[in-house]
Amino acid sequence: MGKRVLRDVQITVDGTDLSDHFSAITVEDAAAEVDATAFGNVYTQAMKGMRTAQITGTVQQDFDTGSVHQTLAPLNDQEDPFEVVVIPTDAAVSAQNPAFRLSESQLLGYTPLSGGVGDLSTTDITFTNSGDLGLEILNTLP
Amino acid sequence: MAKKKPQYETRTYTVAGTRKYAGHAPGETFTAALSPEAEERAIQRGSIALSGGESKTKAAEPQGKE
Repeated sequence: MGKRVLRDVQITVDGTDLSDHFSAITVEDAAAEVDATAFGNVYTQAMKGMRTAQITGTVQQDFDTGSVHQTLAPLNDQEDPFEVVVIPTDAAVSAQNPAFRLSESQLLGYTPLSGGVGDLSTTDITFTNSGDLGLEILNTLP
Repeated sequence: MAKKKPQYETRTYTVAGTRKYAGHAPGETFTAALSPEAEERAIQRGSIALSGGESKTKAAEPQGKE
């Protein structure tokens, strides 16, 4: 398919499709850099440390039934993890359109209202990994 | 090593409201093995409704039935 402009990214939070309210999304799977340089080395040597998986985004607020607020507020209150899935396009999931899944996400905060006069009501949200599975890249959805 | 996800009872649901749920369009009926917590949250916020004759959520049932 080649290069791609983001137009129809699919974002599902705890099963509910909130795609039409997100205006930005970032899927991250990173590892901490651990310095392993020792005497005798010519170059500094780095090792991969603990991994971090998270999904961040900007969502347009909506207080309607079953929409943004009614989805995110309870998830912020609870301890149980939940699933977040991001798919690059609205086509079927495949190797060319993989699903990025944080199956054990949690919210460590939620800002229901933020902005100034005349602004679109948006909020930045971070879904943090809370389990051992981390970020999964799936070519089919179970 | 990745831990194994628990298996839950499969049930039939109908997508309520105006938003897609787990890829299913509003009004569509689907079967899924949701965790009791996910099922309860989705029903409470109006995303899905139990169908297929089910009336009680998994969370409302006695412990140890899964």
